[in-house]
Amino acid sequence: MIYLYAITDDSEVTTLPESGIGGAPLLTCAYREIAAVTSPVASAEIEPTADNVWRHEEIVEALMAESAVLPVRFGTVLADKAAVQATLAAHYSHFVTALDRVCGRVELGLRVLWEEVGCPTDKDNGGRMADSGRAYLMARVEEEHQVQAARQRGEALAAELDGPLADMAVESTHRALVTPRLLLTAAYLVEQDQVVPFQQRVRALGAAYPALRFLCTGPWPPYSFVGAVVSTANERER
Amino acid sequence: MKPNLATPAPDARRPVGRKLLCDADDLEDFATELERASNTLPQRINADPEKVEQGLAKLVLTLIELLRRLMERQAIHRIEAGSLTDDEIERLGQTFMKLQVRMEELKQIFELGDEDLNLNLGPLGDLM
Repeated sequence: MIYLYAITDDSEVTTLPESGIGGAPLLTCAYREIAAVTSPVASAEIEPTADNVWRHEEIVEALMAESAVLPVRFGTVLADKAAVQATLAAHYSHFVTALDRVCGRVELGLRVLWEEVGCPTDKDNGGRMADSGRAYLMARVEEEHQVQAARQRGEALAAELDGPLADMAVESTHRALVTPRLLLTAAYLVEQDQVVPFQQRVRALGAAYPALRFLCTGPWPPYSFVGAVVSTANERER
Repeated sequence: MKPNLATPAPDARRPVGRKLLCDADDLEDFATELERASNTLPQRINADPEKVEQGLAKLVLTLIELLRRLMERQAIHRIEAGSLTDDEIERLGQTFMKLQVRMEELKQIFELGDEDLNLNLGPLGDLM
């Protein structure tokens, strides 16, 4: 079994970290000018422990320092070297285009929490009882209105926060209210030299909206902007 | 239980802090929400003989809860559209109240909490 970390545009990558997950040596598998960085593993099920996840991340970041990189999702395992070669060959033009798109750019992540009174909740039935069937349903109607109104306020606010940040990014994705409290979940693909200005703009937003709480992370490899690079052997079996 | 990826155990060799671009003193809250966002319908039914009943109950009760909420919502739309008589509203309301009581009983029997019947489908969003 072969574990995949990333696909790079440098088939002669030399400065590889010493070892990969489980201490196995890192190997490259080249196809034309691109290459997959891999290491042998014993099983297709890689435990998502902090150690393993950070090891994956460190290797991808080390590669990023040298060349353009498509990060492969954690836990991706292919059957053997031939399968890696076949994947590179089959998606070669897609990989080259994607590498060009992410070259010199990094991903920044943003999550924003809000505490909205009457914000949409999963427990909208609340276990409360009413004197009559009518009273019960009417209370539900009222609740429904509040939930809808809060959702609209949330979506408008999320768009308001996302706008000025998306303007600084080459590409971005955002979702409002993935959970009732998680107002905004967003990822931004920015040029390397835009990281600091971006960070400053997030700080300014934090100051402008003191009731919201911001979590900005990065710089990350562009995980959110490369699509599903490779489907794993075990995903295909399902 | 999957390890929580949002908050890796503190480890001197892993400078988690270097990935934070703003002051966040409340990572726990973010971690809780991320866990909720990824807590979707079980990918597999737990086949442990001791627990298989609870695993199935969780799946079935989640579906019943989904249907109950869909029907409630349908009723709300019809009330707003004015297409239900007072009598119908009363009877529907009674039915939903009784259904809710019965759901609470079933949840207790199978030792399931509200959090276990999660109708959020993660990347697909809320079913409702």
